[in-house]
Amino acid sequence: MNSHESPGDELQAVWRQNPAGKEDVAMTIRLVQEKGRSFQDVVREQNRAGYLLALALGPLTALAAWKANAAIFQIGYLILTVTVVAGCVVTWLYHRKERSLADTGASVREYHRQLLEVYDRRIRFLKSVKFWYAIPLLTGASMVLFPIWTRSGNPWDLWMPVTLVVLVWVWMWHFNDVRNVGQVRRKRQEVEELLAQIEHE
Amino acid sequence: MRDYLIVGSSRQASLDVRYQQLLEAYASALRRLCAAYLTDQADRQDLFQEIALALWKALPRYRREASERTWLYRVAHNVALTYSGRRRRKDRLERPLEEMATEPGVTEGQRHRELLEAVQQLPSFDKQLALLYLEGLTGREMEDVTGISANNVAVRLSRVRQRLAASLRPKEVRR
Repeated sequence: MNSHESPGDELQAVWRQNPAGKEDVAMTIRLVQEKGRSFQDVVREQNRAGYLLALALGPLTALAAWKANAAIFQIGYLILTVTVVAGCVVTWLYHRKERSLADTGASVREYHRQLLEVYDRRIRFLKSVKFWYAIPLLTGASMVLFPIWTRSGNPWDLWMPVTLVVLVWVWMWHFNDVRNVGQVRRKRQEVEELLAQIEHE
Repeated sequence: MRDYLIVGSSRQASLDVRYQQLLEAYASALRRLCAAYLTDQADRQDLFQEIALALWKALPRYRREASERTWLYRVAHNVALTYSGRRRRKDRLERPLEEMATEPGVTEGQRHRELLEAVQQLPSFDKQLALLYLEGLTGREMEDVTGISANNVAVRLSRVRQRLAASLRPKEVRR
């Protein structure tokens, strides 16, 4: 029996008949430290991929904006540049804030309330992507693409860029608002049920 | 810069030592907690590691506002609830409780197994209270861990204790 275990009643005595498993604590610590490192690596890798994409696209669109010979192209490329860079900054700031929101050291009731807040923030963030990211991105892309397809003067030539823009927008909407939000909502529901159980009576 | 690094690394070393002591002191209690939340041995081992990982991450933020024991049980229960919910989603059909008796090292003695089964069958929040009580936490500490009032804890715990005591009675009669 460990020093922190106080003598209790019969139930407590029966409960503590379980063997300690002290011998594998050192192994657990090693596993945990490896797990912690690999988790950090995954986070860094995911962030790095996003930043690299912005680094690759950002200068290209910025250069294209500078070199473009028509105002509509300049504005289109500029919007793309600003959107890609701002997307990175907002995502970084958001995840930085989110990591500090739910504290496992809080009481069970408080922790689960914090989790609900985290899930609500995540849902709001995911649902907002189609406005603050997809709309400017597609506006910029449209300004760059549309004049190329409409050089012939035939309005039917617009079908391709319009379809492309609509498809990208629908994909982004489905990915964030349906798939990702659905996942978060299921987790939120479980936490909500547990919190209701805690606060019952 | 050099001083800062030395201070940083010495703080990390002291945290590592504290973490190891903490895990050694509470390993038995945490294993019992894992056994109460999950029936599968591999899942229990995973949960134990998840809790250990959460403690490792949370330790630098521990400010002694709560006792070490209270803080540890908060982290452990918060992680266990999230993890067991995730397991339920992945594996809706858990193995029947009878299978546990054949697993070596999970329980020691028939009475402990009966008590463990009774704890596993409690609703999530009652299970938390039962585990805190069985590990010897005081009413005040239970209030700190769960975040519900001491009166509420007392009322619910009284029912939980009756239910657990009833689960042990048949064994006593047979003896």
